[in-house]
Amino acid sequence: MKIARVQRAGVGAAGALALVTNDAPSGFRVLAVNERRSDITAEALVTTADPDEPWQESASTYRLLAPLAYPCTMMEMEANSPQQCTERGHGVPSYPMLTLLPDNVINHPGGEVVTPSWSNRVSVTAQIAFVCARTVARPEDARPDAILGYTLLLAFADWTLVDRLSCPTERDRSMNEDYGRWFDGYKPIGPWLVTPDEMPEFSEVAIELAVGDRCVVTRGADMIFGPLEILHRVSAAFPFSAGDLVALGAMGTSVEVPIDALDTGLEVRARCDEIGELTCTLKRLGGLTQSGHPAGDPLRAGHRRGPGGANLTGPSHIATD
Amino acid sequence: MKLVTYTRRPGGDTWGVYRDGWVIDVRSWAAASVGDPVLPLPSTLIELLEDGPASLDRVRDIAEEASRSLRESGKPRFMHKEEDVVWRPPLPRARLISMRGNNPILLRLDGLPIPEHPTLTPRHPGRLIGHQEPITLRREDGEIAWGAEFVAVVGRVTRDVDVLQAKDAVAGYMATNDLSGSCFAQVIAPDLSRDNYNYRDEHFAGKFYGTWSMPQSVGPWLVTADEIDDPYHLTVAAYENGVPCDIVTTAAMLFTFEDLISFLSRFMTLRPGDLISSGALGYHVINGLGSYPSGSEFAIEIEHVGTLRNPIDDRRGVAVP
Repeated sequence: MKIARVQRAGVGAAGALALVTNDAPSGFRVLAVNERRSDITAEALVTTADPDEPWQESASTYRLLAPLAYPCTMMEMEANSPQQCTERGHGVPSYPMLTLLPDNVINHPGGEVVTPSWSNRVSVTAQIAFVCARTVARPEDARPDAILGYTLLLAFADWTLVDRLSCPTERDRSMNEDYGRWFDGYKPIGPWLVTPDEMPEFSEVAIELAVGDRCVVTRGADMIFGPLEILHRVSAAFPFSAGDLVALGAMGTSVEVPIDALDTGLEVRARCDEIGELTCTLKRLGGLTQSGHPAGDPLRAGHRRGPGGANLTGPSHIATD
Repeated sequence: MKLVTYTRRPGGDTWGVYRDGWVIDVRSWAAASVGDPVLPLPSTLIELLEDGPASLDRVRDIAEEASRSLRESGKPRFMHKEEDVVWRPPLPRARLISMRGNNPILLRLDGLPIPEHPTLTPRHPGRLIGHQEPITLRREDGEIAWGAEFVAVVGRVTRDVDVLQAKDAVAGYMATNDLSGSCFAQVIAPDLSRDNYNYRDEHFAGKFYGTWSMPQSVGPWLVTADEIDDPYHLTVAAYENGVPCDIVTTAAMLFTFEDLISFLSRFMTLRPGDLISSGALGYHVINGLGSYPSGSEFAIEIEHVGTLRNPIDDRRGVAVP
């Protein structure tokens, strides 16, 4: 079953819950829609069997939204494949490295990912993410029925800021790297959730990532921690809730985006046979200002020292170039 | 004005204004006012902030009217005694982003470099608790650390602002108790020796899993910015069972809230209700199992803001059912 959040074209209403199929020439077809439910939770899906609920086949044109529950907590695994660990200079971790994502990063299938004008180094990985069907508060709760479905996620990371921030130690650099993942709209998610019964073993799953002319394939067999192991290990520390999204991290190499192509727009596409296809267009916002400083540059004005730093010696400003 | 979110069992969350030991149900007051031609007030404080200054002024007027009515008639109308309500986080499920180590004097004493730019980490939005809500300690938490932090509340959509513009983004202030536990060593990575943690392990142990595993108390209320003349000359004190264990001043802040908001706004859109924490201004208190039996209390007092109190519910010695 493919579960989507959709929005009727031309109508500014909130999303609706829908069941879709991807056998249509246009990419997908809505089989049933429930305009009274926009929350993607197991509870909402149970209502599909309720004859009183207004599920109906619809001839309307819909646009796909990120298949997320609101509110939800979004998390992303880092260093979840040996190749990623090598690229990032990490050893292979002995525990799942789960980081939080602020929800401003959400973008929808087919959306535009707009980099700031000052971006000059951006990379992307294609990932599989899952949405929790229910609360997982203890390791023994981490059973297959805890997963509502799987989707794709294009994870852009902007290294421009990290490159330019002062990082006196590896520790500082490591913390700064998180900023690169928090940019507005840098995580297109979709196109829908595929329920676990339609997914093969992860070792058999592959994702093709196309960035302009470049194409790479990553495989689930290279993943260090699978979904249930993550839930099992981490739920000992804190509970996952229904609707939480966990991105499983890159299963292989990341792709550097050709920055020059951003001025005209660059199509980025992830495809997984079992899930579907997720696309977005990456483009750059604006250009340089007259002063030569990129508009909105986070380092342009330096950072005014607060009262606690007023009498300190040491660097008094941050270099802008 | 002190804005609160609360519950009166049975029933869901609602919000009001705290004054002199009373919580004024502003929405009910407005709805019952004969001849009030204005639209109903929003159902959450986040929506109230989104509505902007005019709605805040209206709430202020209603609270004044309710207080005057109580003084003149002696009969409370749409008001609850503070002991009759259950306090909730003023902004439930808010995004809380916290600065790491923001007192340059303590950083120097600890032999750490003075950062040239903010280092921020997000807290788990599902872990916020309110004033007087119990902090439940589990067996996995083992050793815990806690400490006072000062929080600014974002009041408007904020994107790409400089430090001076960032001042206008602050709608108010509150306190937070930054709690972290040792679940990382206990259950996430018990095979790793603490002596061998690398910088990434330290992040996961302290700032990521460490804080996500513990309730993060915020409140007791949102004090609107107009009531704080200078947020950088306030005394912040932490108390354990009424005994002061740390007293600092917000003058110690290396990066002001304006610095932090400006920095973040260059790459992520901040929204009404986002919480930006000062980070630790003093030393966190660290104690092990048995130090905080049930009935203990943590309190964070910020001058002109209020006192955030949370009792301890120690279940570390209790077997998991």
